[in-house]
Amino acid sequence: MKTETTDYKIELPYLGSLILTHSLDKQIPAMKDFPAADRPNSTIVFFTFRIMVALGMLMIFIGLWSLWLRKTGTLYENRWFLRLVLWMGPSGLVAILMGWFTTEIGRQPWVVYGLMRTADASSNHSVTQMSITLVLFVLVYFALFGVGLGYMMRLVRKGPITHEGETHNEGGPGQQRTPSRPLSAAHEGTDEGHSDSLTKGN
Amino acid sequence: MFGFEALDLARIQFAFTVSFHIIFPAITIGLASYLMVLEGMWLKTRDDTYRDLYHFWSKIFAVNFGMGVVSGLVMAYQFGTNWSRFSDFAGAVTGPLLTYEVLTAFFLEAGFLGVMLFGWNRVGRGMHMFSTVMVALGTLVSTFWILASNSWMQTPQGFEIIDGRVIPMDWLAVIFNPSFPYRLENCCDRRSLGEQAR
Repeated sequence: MKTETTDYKIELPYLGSLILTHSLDKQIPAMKDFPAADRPNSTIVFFTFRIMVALGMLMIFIGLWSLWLRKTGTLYENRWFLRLVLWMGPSGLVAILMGWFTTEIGRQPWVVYGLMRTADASSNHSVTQMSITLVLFVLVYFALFGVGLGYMMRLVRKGPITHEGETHNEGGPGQQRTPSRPLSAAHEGTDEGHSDSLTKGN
Repeated sequence: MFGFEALDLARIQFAFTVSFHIIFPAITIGLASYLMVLEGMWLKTRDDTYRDLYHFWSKIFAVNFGMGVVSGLVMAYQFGTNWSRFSDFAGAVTGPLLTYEVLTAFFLEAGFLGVMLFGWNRVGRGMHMFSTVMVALGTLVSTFWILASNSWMQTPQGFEIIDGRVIPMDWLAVIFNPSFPYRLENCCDRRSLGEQAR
């Protein structure tokens, strides 16, 4: 950041100007065209943007790979693929956060671009007040959403209650149109001891 | 604290709360559309696998939706508590956009969510499918307004500054500002969830 250069770079001429100005020859305003006081932290934005793009590429690659595996009929057997898909679970969320960081940090030092600086936008609270509320927020968030996420993971681990192969009536007089037991979704939650002939181990 | 100024702490607080918040709506948006597809497939094929998956994911959807609402409330309050000068300056644009979000999207989602979660045996199949579609639509409309507001902060237009405050002049210009087509990001999450689910 100090020397104002990129140490290791691959240059793709024209592509950047094509995306941002929709023409091949218009110049994208370079960072150095802006006074130093109007520049964001380029190190953070550099990495957050690239992590987001890399994850996106990986998702496209996995999509193509899955298509190919489906064609060869090994989509549900290929261990490497299944393991990778499992690990990619949070990738969408990570990519969203990285993209969000890129837009928000990339806009700094402005809160409304060109109109209001972030430094002029905050309320005049003291350091003590901000420290107390920040610590409280962190504690409450981890407690509250920790419990929430834990409950969600418990639902996930329990897995769907399957009724594959079971016969049921398709409605008609005196018949329920659908089996009532599994359908009382939300308030039932993790109904322990719910015995079901076809769910293994639950 | 740790040599930070009050401004830094306010920014950290916003970054922390918004990073927590964004996760839940992102899952909500992706899951709502996925649930819509599952229910549609069940109605079309009568394959019980779709119905079982629907009930599995709708429980997770309910918990996630609740956490999204709770963490979202905090965001709205912070504009007043920690960023009052921002709200004073730009509230005439951001306030109405967030209000539209509540009126057109959140009401839609929250209203039909009840039917979707508790109405399986109480309303007809068509009505239930309609509720699921409305919830999914609500999440997308919600995305529309929030991104309109955020994009306006990136590329503001359609306003005049009178007495040190932003006054909106052309709402269409405000909403459809140049950086608006951002929404792609949310699709990433839908993809990954979809991939994992099947």
